[in-house]
Formats: sequence, structure tokens, C-alpha cells
Amino acid sequence: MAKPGIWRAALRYVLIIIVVGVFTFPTYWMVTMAFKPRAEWSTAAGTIYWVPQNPTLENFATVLTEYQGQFFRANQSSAVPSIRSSIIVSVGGTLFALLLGTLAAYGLSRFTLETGDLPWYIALGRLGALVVVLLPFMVLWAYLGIIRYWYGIVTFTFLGIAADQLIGRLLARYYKGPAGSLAFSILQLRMFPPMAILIPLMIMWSAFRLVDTWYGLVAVYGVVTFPFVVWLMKSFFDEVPRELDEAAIVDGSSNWGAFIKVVLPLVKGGLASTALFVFILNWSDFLVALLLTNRDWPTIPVFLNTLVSSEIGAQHGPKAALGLLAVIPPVVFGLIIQRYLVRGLTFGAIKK
Amino acid sequence: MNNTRTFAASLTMPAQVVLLFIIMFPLLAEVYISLTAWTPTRGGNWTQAYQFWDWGRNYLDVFQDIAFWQAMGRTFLIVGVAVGLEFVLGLGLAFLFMDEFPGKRIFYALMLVPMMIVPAVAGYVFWLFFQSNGPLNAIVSLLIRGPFTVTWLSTDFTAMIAVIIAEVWEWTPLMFLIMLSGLVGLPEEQMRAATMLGASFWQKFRYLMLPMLKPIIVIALVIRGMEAVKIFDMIYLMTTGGPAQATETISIYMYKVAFQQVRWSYSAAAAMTVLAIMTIIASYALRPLQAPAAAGPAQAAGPNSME
Repeated sequence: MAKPGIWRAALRYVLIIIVVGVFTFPTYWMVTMAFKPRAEWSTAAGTIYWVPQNPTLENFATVLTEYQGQFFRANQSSAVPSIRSSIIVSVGGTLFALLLGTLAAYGLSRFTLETGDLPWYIALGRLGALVVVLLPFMVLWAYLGIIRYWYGIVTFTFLGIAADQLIGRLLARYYKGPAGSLAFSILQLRMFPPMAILIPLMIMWSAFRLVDTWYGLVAVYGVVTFPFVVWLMKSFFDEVPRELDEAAIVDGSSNWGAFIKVVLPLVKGGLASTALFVFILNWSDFLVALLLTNRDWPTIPVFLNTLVSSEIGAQHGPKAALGLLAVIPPVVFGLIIQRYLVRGLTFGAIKK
Repeated sequence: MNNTRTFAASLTMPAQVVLLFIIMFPLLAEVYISLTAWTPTRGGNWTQAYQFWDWGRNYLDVFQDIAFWQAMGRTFLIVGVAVGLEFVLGLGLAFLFMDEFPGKRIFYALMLVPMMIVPAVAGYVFWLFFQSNGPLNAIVSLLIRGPFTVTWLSTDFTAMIAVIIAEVWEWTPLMFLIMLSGLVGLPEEQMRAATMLGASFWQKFRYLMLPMLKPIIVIALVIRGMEAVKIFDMIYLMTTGGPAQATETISIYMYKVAFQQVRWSYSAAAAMTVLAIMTIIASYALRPLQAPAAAGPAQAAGPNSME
């Protein structure tokens, strides 16, 4: 690099300070709001408090303690259960997604050679055929009244999987075009708005009594985020030369042994940054938790939303306080795996 | 050989089974409900929806529903503008952070913070931010030395701008991170050679960095685009899709139809239409991703892999 002049260095600092300053201001506003007493929350009176004049921890106390009975103030539960449930379901969902996704990614990286993409009319046609075949059964199951119960759903699902396999075989016999890779059909799932499938999922979850339980949310989070894991991890596995697993197998370890003892340690940096992103995705979710929890397992975003109406006027301070607390887990996680972060995000696209 | 096949199957099997188990029933239940005129307010259980069977009426209605198509168009408008801005900002910032300078770690950490903030919280902070007596207007008033009172969230155009700003704020850090990892990964010898040959920064950028960064740029844009299509939380908390329908994206539209208007069968038909449209778009949007991924193993096995 040429020796940068002092002006260039100065220009860089000015630009960075401006951009980072602008990007940090909303965070700053949240942080200061968390420490402002009630009188400084609102700007309606015409004065804006850029810095808290009388910093207080009252907001944290409000949001973390339970409040019961008194005029004009509804009972307010504490945020502690929601913090607990957020941590449990996000960690659980992340582990579930990592388990499913890492295995699938390794399988796709090592054992599938199919490339080429499935044209959308084949994909939709296959889906359409499945729907046409299964719809009469759905109506029949509904007519018999058994689809309301778990055994109705389970039998129907088995029927559906069988039908799906059958259609797949038939398609393979008559359609010789590009088969489409599993990795990309999995990735496509990431694009569907979860809202599109949430109503029937609520129905299914209530039949299985999974609504408002931590394991119900973990299952949904795992399935919603695992396509992301598959895709990221596949790019990391692709960077590990195949010769390594083959050498391990020649040396007498099993397939699983080669995978767990040789390949997995090599991609642990990638695994760590994947885990962080999946954790952030799960931690951020509002919609799924809003619809699939109510009393026992609301997560932080859901709880935050209930804070609005529970008091006369908005709860700016306590909400900001809880928002600040909610930043801690991802930041701590991010700091722990910091050194893997930059290297880990090239998605296998840049080769040295 | 047989052993290997069992191993390969057992790797992808759990994911496939779980996926089919979670998708199969909801998909068919959704289709079933969408072909009827049943909603919870009509009484009865959803299983008795066959009593209200009316074939494709809902789908015809969806096709004729201007609000649906507007929500669709609006979603892609927001995605296009926001992801474009995120990309420009992210790439620019990545250039600023490319080499070492004192204080880099602090600025870098600060720059990543927005990504860590729960979108629901961010939506709420931005809601505060864009109030007519909120901090944003106060700052502008200070700058122009006069009163500045735009009611951001209550006119169509400004509400849209506000929503896009919030989205850009939340996700530029991810774009920045991806671009930075791309820039850091560029081969140094070639850059040094170009500098020695007297190439200007612009020339290096245009003829050296951009072509090498292209795959990662495409991936970053596609990933962000895919996630942004689903945008719900922040808009829901900032404007609930308002004023009127000015910031209603497809997720918010479906949410409103299902839970505010309680038209379940109609919302199911809308959901199925969205699934079909997204399948078509995804099959084209994801196409550029296949090239680098497919080239991966081949290159890894090449002569240069022994680094």
C-alpha cells in the first residue's frame, strides 16, 4: 500500500465517525431512555433530554418486578420469565437447527453430485400433484373428525409422505431434466414468509398440545432456521478437502468417526459463526412466538408488546430497559466467537 | 459401498423427516381451508369446513384483490430500495475498514450492534424516533435553526421512508460484515502488483476487486433479499402497516386478514398464492448461487488446495 497521506487518514476518520455515529444514535437513544426517569421520557412538553438528567435504575426495577393491584394500573408481570423463555427457546432452537442442518450439510457436501436447478413449473407441478392426491384424504379425515386429534394428523402425515415418495419416483421415471439439488430446495424454504403457514401450524400444534410450551417453539425455530445452517455449513464443508475424510477412513475410522473427529473440528469456526447467526434469527423472532405462545412461554419481544397497554401512557423507559437487557446475550455470544466472525462469512465464494 | 450409502442417507434423513412432518399437514390443511368459505366466526370447528365448500372462489378473490397485489409490490419495493442501500453502505464501510487503523476495533464493534438488537425493540425505538416531537425532528431543527415538524409516520411517503431507514439501519451491519470478509479474503499479491504498476484506486476497484468480489456480492444480495421479503416485526411495531395501507407488506397483509378481519379461508388462499409466487421467484433468484457452490468441491480438490 502506498503511504497514505495525513489528509486521507483524516478523511477516513471523518467518514467513519459520521457513519458510525449515525448508526449508533438509535442505540444511544435506547440506552439513555433505559436510564431516564419518567419525566424525561416524553418530549411532548417541548424539551428533549439528550442525556438523562437524573439517571435512574427504576426502569429496570419496573420491568423486572411483578406489580399487582392499585388503581389505574393493571397487574404487570415481571419480564424475568420472558427472558428465561427467550433464552431457552433460542438456544434450544439453535441447537436443533445446528443438529439437523450440519448433518444434512455434510451429506450434501460429500454425497450428492446433482447440480442444476429444478425449474419452477416442475417444482410447482410436483406440489400440485401432491395436493390433488392428498386433498380427498384431507376432506375424508376431516369428515370422519379424526384430523382434529393427534393420531389423525400422524396417520395423515404418513399417508402424505408415502404419496410424496410415490410422486417423486414417478417424476424421476418420466422427467429427465435437471433433478434439482436438495440444498437449493431447502434454501428456497427460507424465502416463504412464516405467516403463510402459521395458521395451520397453530392448529397442528394445539392438536399435539405444543402451543405455549418451550419444546413446541424449539421445534418451529429449528425447522425455520435449519435451511440457513445447511447452506452456510455446506460451504464450509466444501472447503475441507475430501482426501482428509478418505485418509481417516483408510486409517480405520468409521464414516461417523471421520466426520466427527476429523472434519467437524476443522469447521468449528464456521460452526460458531453459523450458530451466532441462527441464534440471532431465533432471538429476534416476534411473529412465531406471538402466535404460538400466550401465558407460560412468551418471549422477550412478545412480552415487550404487552407492555404497551398495561399502564396509563406508554412505558418507554421500561421497554428500553428490557430492550437493553435483550442485547446482552447476542453481544456476549458475538464477543466469544469474535475471531471467527470475519473469516467465517465468505460463503465459500472467495477462494484463495 | 452399501455402508457409504446408508451413511449418506442417515445424514440427510433427520432433516427430511422433520421437515416433511412439519410441512405436510399444515400445507394440506391450508389448501383445504382455502377451498371453503369457513372462518372461526361462522361457528363450528375447522374440520367441518367442508360444509362451506366453494371451490376456487377465494383464489379468484385474491387475484382481484388490489390490496393483495399492492402489498406484494410494496414488499418488493421496500426490499429493492433497502437492500440496495444496505449494499452500497456496507461495501463503502467495508472499504473504510479494510486496513488497520487506531480505534478500528471500537468502531467495528459499534457498527455491528444494530444487528444484535431485537427487531421488535428496534421497531419500537424507531417509532419513538420518528414521532413529530421526537429526537429526529429535534436534530433537524437544530441543524436548520428553525422548527421542523414532519409527522413521519402519518403520511404515506414519509412513513415508507421511515420504514426503509429502520430496515437499512438494522441490516447494514450484516452486509458490512459479509463485504468485509470478502475484501479481507482477496489475494494480497495481486493488489500489491496492481499498486506497483501504478493503478489508481478506482482502477483497482473496477477491474480487480469488483470481478473478484462478484460472487460474494451476489450471495449477500440474495440472502438479504430473501430475508427482507419476510419483513414483519419492525413495520408492525412502527406503523402496523399504516397510515391506512401505505406500509403494508405481504406478511402484514396476511396477518391483518387472518387476525383482524378473521377471514381464515381467504387468508389461506392468499398464503397459497404467496407460496406459489415465492417458489417461482426463488427458482430464479437462487440460480446465481449455484455456480460458486457447485464449483466449491472441484476447486477444493484442485492443485491450489494445499495452502
